[in-house]
Amino acid sequence: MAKPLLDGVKVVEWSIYVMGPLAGVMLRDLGADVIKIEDPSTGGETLRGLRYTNGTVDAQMPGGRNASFEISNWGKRSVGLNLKSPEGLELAMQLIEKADVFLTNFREPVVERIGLDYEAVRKRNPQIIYAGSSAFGPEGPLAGRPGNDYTGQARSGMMWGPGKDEDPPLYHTGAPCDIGGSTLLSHGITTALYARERTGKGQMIDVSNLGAGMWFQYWAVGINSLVGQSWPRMDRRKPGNALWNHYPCGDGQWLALANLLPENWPAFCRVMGLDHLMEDERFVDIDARRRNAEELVELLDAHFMTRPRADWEEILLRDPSLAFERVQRVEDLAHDEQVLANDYITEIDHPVYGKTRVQNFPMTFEKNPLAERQPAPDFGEHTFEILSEELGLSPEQISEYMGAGVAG
Amino acid sequence: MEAPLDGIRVVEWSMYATGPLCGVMLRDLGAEVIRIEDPSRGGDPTRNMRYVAGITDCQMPGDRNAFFEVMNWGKRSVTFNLKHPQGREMAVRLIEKADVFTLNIRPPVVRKLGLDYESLRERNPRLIYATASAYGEEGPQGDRSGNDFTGQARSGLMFGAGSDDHPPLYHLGGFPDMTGATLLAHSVISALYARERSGEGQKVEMSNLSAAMWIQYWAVSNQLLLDIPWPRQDRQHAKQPMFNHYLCADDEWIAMATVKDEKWPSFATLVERPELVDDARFKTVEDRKENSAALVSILEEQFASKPRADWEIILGSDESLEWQRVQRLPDLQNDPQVEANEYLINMEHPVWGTVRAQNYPIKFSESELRSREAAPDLGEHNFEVLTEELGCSSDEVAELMSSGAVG
Repeated sequence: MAKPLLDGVKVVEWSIYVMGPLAGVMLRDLGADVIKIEDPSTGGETLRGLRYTNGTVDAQMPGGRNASFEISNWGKRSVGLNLKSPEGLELAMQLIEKADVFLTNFREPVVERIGLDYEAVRKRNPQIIYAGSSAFGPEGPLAGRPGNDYTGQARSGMMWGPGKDEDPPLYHTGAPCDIGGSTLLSHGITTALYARERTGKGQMIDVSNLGAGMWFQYWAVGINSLVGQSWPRMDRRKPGNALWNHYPCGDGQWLALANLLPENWPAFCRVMGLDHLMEDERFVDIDARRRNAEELVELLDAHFMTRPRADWEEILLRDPSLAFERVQRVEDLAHDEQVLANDYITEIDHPVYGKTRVQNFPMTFEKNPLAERQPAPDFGEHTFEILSEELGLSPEQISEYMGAGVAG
Repeated sequence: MEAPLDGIRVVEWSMYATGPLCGVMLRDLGAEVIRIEDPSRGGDPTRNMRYVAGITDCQMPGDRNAFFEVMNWGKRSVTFNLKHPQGREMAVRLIEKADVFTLNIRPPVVRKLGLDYESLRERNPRLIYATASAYGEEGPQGDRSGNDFTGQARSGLMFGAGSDDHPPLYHLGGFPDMTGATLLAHSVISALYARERSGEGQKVEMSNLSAAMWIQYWAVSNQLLLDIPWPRQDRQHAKQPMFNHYLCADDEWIAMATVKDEKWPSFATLVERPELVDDARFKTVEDRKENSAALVSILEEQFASKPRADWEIILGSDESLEWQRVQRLPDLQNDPQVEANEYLINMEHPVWGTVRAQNYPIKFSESELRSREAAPDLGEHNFEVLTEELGCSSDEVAELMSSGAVG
């Protein structure tokens, strides 16, 4: 039986909220053993008790559990250690000594105050891959400042991406800066593990929320860096290319056209029954269509309104060179046959929730299965197991630590 | 110090963004990347794509294209006609000597040209074959083409920003493509790591759709568990007023970004409205949710009373509060934070002189990154690759060129 890709790799994670924890989920999906250190004095990680994040969605789940914590901590082991006590810190260091990766998204000043900065950690384990993450990067005037997905979206220019000129900047609810940061952390850690196989050396990597926010707009940031223009928003009433735009159909559902090439125009006119537009001099070439896009969108808006979306999908399918897609909502994905056929969403048996749909790791490996998704741990669920099995402590020592508030 | 992928050879058969940006990432990490382009169509379509989405003019001096450039820094370009048996054979010989083959070509085209995994692994069992499709290789749309826009549309991303009265919104940054590139690079390196341990290559696969879903993991995965319609966030009715953005007196925006309810009294006091703390409408989290419209409009009025710089000084006095200025993309060019962390760098370009480029987003303490170089001209490295890599003589190269196998 083939093994998961990171089988045997040990990760110690000391992080909260999303960016650090989701990186831990990705490493665990790939097969790593992820031990999460939580603070017993606060009842564990903040996200466990954070019912409303942006105030709109209630993350409360049955059994006193929290959906946001669950999705950010599948299958980890939780150990409660009070890092502010010398004994708790020493136990954490002993775990790190036996680990391949240490992952944190605490602010640098906090990490240094506690004594888990890279210098301190590598003294105990020179081969460690130390993955740090911050809101704004380790250098510069904002180094050490608190931040999160929202500050990343704001600072990186992302909030001016969607919408039209007269709109205010817009926040994206998918948390792209946090998730992007997690993805870069997981990628960076894997890269450092590979480098360590070849050189024998551990090292520190750093990812920031701001850097991630910029990276996941690379197309826009990269081109803007070169052409140096102000960067426009894309108003669907006035796009540069009416075939790269979305339209409401007769049943109120939206359809996106996603065609970039000049040769898509005649093909589009033909299948859509708009042959007369091919001769129209306002739309004769891609520059003319760019100049007169507003008029063209009005014509197409009226045309798309004459039929429901399903009809248009069938019609557009007749020409395989045309790219188009229905505009779905997040809640449509669980019923999307394409999503299900590729296992992007799968079902697990959850001890508390029963049959539960979960979002899968986004890539597949022919020879390495992904680790099975397991529920997020209860706070301190594995404290005893980890202290006894990993660190060889006796039950008496463990209960002493527990009694003294060192472990929880 | 050496780069993590020193000595790793990548052959890339990709167009537009997902595949090419993955190649840039692998090259940043030290790999040698050779891209195969189609001579019959003038190479990658982005070489000649002046207006992408009709908006930004990508034309650059020297008849070069900004879109193509940023997706192809420092690669080598060969023009092999894959429909020609000898052109295809040259490609296969190149892949035989490579560690990694990346592609974002539609599966039926890949099969037709015989560059599918089953055909190639016989020639190179250690090969990492990394493929990005539009929708995943299974399912009713497994063979269809798509791109960043179809990924945004299908994945729910377009309903992520804006309020209920907005139409769905296209995001100009290219999230699905950029995420796809990052995941593809991640999968390649993961597979290289596995190969160090097992000695075997393998096929890795992801799609634009899986990437578009992944970058919204917070929304998609929470929604699956909570099983509710996923709301858009209307700033006028922000349920958590400290997690909302406000317009300041100088027409600049500031984003408050704190999710900690217990910060409310100190926040209200800090923004000089201490009376709100005792206002019965805003006492508890539930009260503030209930009366969010009233509270947002009070805070709007308050923020509109001073320019942003003043608010930054005021808010900056509480180290535990999260907030940030809302920048536009061009602001990044003069952002000292971006500069200090080298998220944007200057590079010397042979045609344009000193230009700005976005740097690789991860810092490694012990691994070097390769310095950025110009994107290749179409077929620039035909002769070099054919002679040096594949051992062809000059005569053989000339024959390949005249037969149309190489463009």
